[in-house]
Amino acid sequence: MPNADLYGLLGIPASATPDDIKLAYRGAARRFHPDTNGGPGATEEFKLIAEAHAILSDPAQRARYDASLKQGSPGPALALRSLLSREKVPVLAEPQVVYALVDVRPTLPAGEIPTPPINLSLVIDRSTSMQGDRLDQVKTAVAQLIDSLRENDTLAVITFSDKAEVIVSPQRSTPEQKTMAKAKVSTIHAAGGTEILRGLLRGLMELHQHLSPSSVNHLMLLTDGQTYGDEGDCQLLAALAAADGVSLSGLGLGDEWNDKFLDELASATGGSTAFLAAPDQVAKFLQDKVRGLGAAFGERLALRILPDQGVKLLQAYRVAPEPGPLAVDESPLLIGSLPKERSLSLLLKFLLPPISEGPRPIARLALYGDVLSLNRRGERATEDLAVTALASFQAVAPPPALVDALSKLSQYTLQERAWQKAASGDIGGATRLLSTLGTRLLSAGQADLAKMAIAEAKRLERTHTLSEDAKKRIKYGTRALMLPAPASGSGRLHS
Amino acid sequence: MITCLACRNQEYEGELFCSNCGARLWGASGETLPTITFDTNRLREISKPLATTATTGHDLKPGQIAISVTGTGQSVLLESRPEYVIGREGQEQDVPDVNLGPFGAREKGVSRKHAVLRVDRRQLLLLDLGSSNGTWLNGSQLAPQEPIRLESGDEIRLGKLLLKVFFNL
Repeated sequence: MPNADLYGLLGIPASATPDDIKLAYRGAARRFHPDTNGGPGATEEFKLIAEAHAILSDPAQRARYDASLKQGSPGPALALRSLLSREKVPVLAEPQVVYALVDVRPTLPAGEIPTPPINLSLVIDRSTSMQGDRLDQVKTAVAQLIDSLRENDTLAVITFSDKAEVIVSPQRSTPEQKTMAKAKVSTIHAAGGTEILRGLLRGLMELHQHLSPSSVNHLMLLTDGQTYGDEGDCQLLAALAAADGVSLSGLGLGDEWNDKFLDELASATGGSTAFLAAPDQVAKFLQDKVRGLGAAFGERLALRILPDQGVKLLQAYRVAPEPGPLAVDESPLLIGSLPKERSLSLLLKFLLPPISEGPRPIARLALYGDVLSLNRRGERATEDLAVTALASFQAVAPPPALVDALSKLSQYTLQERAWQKAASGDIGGATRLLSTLGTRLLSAGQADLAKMAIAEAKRLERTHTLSEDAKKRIKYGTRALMLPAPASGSGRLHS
Repeated sequence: MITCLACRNQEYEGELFCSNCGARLWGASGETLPTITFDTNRLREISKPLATTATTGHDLKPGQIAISVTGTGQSVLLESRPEYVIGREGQEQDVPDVNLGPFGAREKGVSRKHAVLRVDRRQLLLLDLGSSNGTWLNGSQLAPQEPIRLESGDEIRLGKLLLKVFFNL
């Protein structure tokens, strides 16, 4: 078991006595035994626990393992911490909800970490609708992006309409190559339809030429339109990309692209989708994005969530660095990239079955990821979530950080529900949710978004139709609110 | 389950925010809840379109009033308030309790605050608020500010907009 944190697997400190080890093994084995826990990943976890016990319970093997910890490896590179909405819960004969705010951080100070090379494939929609300002702004933005690349970064530029062309084949970013690449980008012109599958396929093929486990391998898809009939194949490609360690992000321009499709495509790889209402925002967006990719500490992060018997994971959201919902039926959750100067935060919602008095484990979180700059792959960190059920329960205020994240999530949820209601024909319900959202946003000090929500509620009531533009602004606007305000001193990102 | 004090929505124990209206659910007593959203919810709730297309008054629960807009097949259901202002929304955010704006009220000469329906000891009263184009009950015009008792099934005309009112009080 390379890189395995044996003590973490049993949930004990390295100073544990042989009796501690025996006791911890029995507890952990019972939680994940295939007979009691049928959840995804439980059997593998059970095997890992058994292996950890086999090594740690044998004095000679344990001594060897302890020695290897002191010498070879510099200790775990990823730290996993969690905050529960309640650590003490009431004894109840009905189900109850517990939230966990999970935080992933690098264990090393940012200054000591070298930055990984980026292997980037930029896939640009050049359909007729991109003509004019949109494509001009995109071309300018790509030229600026090329200028900002470091010499060991590689870039491929692909355009697509109803066919795909390689404009810049993947190559390292020397000054000569950059000049050439910019000249080629300036020749892009708009014509044809929007067939995303073609662009995606070509983009991934080019990306594969320099695919490396020690790079950030990323594909960025920029579109302003809808693709028809090839959505399923695109999803399949995204899943294959994720299996190869490639993340994918979407950038939607204007109000005609399919946000649901692009969101699903990106989140299947741990990536995310952004919405830009005006093309003059593209340049800054690409700059920030590439700076973010280059500042990755951990890549290809995946969180295996192993609920204890009877517990269900209801929802999962990434709060930072790129806020958005995560698909809970996927195991493990692909959670993307960990920046070296910020943390990656997730919000998990668990449903507990009726419980009796005493300690109650909820779930084990097992985080896996590659730490590029340390050239370590398959790093693992473990965190156990547990509560204590009390018969004489007294409610205490939930932790402020969790309340803050949840109040913003509830605003995002209100607008999601409003669109669902509108789509199912319940115009009255949608209108009510939007005007409620408006007042919530107003009291949260988000005047612009609030006005948008209220205006959309009135419009919907009057015309019984949605404005795609307002929908996207409100959706991505409330989603962006989830991002916690950067802590002081994070302005050091400029290298 | 716990009940949201703002909108009566049911949520699991341990939930922190209402999924239906976003109100805070912890902190126990009602007086600590923010009051800002309360009015809007009420305003939206009372003018809920009925699912049925034609209303005769037979399907109303005790305490309910239905206003059906003649020729549209649509009704507005009212309950749980002693008084309702009928009119249409103006340019300001001022929306009356019963907003007939979506039924072409402006074109048909309905004032922003046209008339009032008042529930008084199981009776329903109608009162014209001095509207520009007048209020009629079964063909005869009402004097402004003088309440008149209604029967279920009465026909009301606001300007040129025809309504029928049904109630079970």
